[in-house]
Amino acid sequence: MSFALETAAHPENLRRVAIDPVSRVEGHGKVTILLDDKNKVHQVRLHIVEFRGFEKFIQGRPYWEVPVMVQRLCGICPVSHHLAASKALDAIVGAHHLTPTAEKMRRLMHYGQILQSHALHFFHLCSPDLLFGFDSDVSKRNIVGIAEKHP
Amino acid sequence: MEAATKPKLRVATTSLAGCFGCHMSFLDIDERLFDLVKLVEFDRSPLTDIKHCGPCDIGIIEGGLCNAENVHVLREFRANCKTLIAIGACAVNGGLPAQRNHLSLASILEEVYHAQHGLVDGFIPNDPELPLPLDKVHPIHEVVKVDYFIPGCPPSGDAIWKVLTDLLAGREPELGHGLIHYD
Amino acid sequence: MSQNNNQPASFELDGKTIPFQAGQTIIQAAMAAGVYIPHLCFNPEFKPHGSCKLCTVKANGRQTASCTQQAQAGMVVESDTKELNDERRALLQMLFVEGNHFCPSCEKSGNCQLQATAYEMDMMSPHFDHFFPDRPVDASHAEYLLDFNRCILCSLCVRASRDVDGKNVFALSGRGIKTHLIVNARSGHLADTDFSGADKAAQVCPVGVILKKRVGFAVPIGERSFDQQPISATPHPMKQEG
Repeated sequence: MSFALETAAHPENLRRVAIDPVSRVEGHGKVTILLDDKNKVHQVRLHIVEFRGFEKFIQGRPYWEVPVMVQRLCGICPVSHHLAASKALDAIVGAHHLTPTAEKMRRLMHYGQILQSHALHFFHLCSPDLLFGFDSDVSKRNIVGIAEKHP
Repeated sequence: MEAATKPKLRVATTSLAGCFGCHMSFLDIDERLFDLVKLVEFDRSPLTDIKHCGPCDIGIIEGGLCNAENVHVLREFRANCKTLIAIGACAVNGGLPAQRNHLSLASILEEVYHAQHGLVDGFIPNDPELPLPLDKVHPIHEVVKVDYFIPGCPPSGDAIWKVLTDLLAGREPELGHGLIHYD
Repeated sequence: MSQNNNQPASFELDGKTIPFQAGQTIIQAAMAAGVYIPHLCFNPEFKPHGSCKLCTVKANGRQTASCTQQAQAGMVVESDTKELNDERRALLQMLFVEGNHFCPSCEKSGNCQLQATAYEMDMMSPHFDHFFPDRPVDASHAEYLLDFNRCILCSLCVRASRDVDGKNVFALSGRGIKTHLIVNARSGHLADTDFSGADKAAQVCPVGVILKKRVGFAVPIGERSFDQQPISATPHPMKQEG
């Protein structure tokens, strides 16, 4: 099966550059780029390499266990998954209206999650690119280099 | 300080079939990270742009083995790291992803990509760029020798700090009540 | 006991003098004196079963289950030694790999005696290869759930149902590695028995097999019995429910 994203007409004749793993991002990934002799890019794809099967193995478990289980889908945004599962449970048990406290609680949790994820993304992961530049020395382009240069 | 004269220990970290929760917990050592980097420097890690693990003193593995690539990365770490630490439930005992182990891989792929409500033109990905999934999820000690284990989902920043500082000081790591957790 | 001058009879446990009454087992006397001996299938309210072997001690140099061995005056007992704790840890590791113990999403986590005992014995890894057996959950009963994945075959529910409730709802079936917990109904389902939440059998499971539905996470993880204090400092672990 071929995708619209497979833009190279003859991938077999092209040079492949892989960025594997994609680092300083929140998650697992791999990027492949196909170039011709003149270094012209013909195809770029991001591959999602992780498969765990939560969709299947939560079946047959007590439903109140699921929010706690799906937190483990992602250690960076566990709250988002927890609340998504909580929403599914609302639908299962017929809770169509949240109490004001529950609603505020869930919003607060989401805000906390967003704050934490952004702090991680900016300070630990992407600030080296922004402060040092994309083509700076690889051995310094990380949080440790940032702490030394811009304490 | 003595640390200034001693060569720094090289530490590599990676997440195999993990969720990065253990790495987040590692960052929960907060400003102690700066005490740590007086003594160590990072090789391959999600925090750096080094793609392959070179010779290291300590390798820290998060996540179990879900696919063939996980196995290759694990073997590269074992071959390069003098001390290998399994961190978190997935690396230690397979963790929650191992709940798929009593099911057939085909039935799971079918469910996730094909059968589920809303997947009209769904098909099971078979791109050669994708690593092949393993039949079962394995904890890392079933494939390579592991020197130390830090259980927990995730282990607390304090537990990780305790093990690392014990190791850096040349002590046998010990967690004790409050730091040893499986949940 | 041929003890003169009204002194209660006593034995020595890890260098400590433990008094006992005639007929008491080593673990009963130790518990009464506030000394912890690791155990799983023993519960002071029931006749000992002697099957988990966690409570194995060395009495006068010979290994014996302290839940079945009667205390004797002058006996020298070792329990908290590296040798015995290493063996206990191996037994725990075998229990962990035989079942499916996914602590992170288990509602009993923090109140589970298997987990707390493993903490106590510094179990850092399962060591052995996992079996990952296929054991479906029995959710047939309106109020209670059976998650067989976590069963350690302690037989406490069997004893409680038979000896206290007079119902014989549970039994251990099969032999050796094939031993498993069953429900005495033609269908095999809990809903087809006379099991009730008021039964003693509903209260005794030391792990997360017999669970009351819809109350699982009332006490948050991190604030449960064995999060607060280790099992060795918890006098009656069975009474700590959460």
